[in-house]
Amino acid sequence: MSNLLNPNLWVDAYADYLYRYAITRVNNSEVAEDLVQETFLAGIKGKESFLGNSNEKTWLTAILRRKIIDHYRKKSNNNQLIVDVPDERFGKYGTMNDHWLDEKAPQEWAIAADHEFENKEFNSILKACIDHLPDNWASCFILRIMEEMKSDEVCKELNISPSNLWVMLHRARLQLRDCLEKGWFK
Amino acid sequence: MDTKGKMMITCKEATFLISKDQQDKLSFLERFRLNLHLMMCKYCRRFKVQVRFISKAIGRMKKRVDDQGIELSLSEEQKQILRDKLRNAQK
Repeated sequence: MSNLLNPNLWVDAYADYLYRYAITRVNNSEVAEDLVQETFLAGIKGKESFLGNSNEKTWLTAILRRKIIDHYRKKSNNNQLIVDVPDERFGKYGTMNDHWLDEKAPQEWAIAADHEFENKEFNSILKACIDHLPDNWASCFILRIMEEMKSDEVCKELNISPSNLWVMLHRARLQLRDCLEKGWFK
Repeated sequence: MDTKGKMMITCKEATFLISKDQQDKLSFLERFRLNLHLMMCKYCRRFKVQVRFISKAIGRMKKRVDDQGIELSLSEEQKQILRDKLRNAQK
């Protein structure tokens, strides 16, 4: 069934779609371009494995998705496990130990019912905040939350334990929250 | 997190559970402890609302770009480079 594939038409038919798919997940145009190119080249190499039971687009997207996971796997350095590092958001002493410090605690956000979601500026700040996550946390966050992979899948890909995944996702959320509060809600 | 045997948890532990609740199931005991803490803690209640808001915002952003990220595309020049590379790869 491999005669169903015609790589000469791929660029015109799928390049923009794959590029958009990639850039929303890696947030970097050069990396996204490279991933699209690698996807097409892998597609040509692996033509024989195309069984014709899915369409070209789905098949190429699956290859790209695999490339994106590999990209994050390379980026995440699992030697650097942050399990219980001190967190300056919380108190250290006595009855305040591990409780929010007033000056670091969440402030009231004036969320204008759904308005933010459609606001371009808000969305670009949100994107920038995600971009600024350290690589380790970003890899977990993007694969689990953006790519919607299952937790055990992410752990397997990044070679980390479930509790490490939870801690890193949590750290990522704490930082995203701080970043949005500073960048938008103040 | 070592919370064996105690019902009262700290904000640090509560925020962790709020976060975990966004992607994985909490155990009965975890949920019980979290809810007990939330009844007493204004900051963690805020944290919960805000974390949910962030999840929703990310969901919307993702959906919008997948559906209609029309403003993003490769230039004709980039496409030509790709076409040439694909042709060479098939030789």
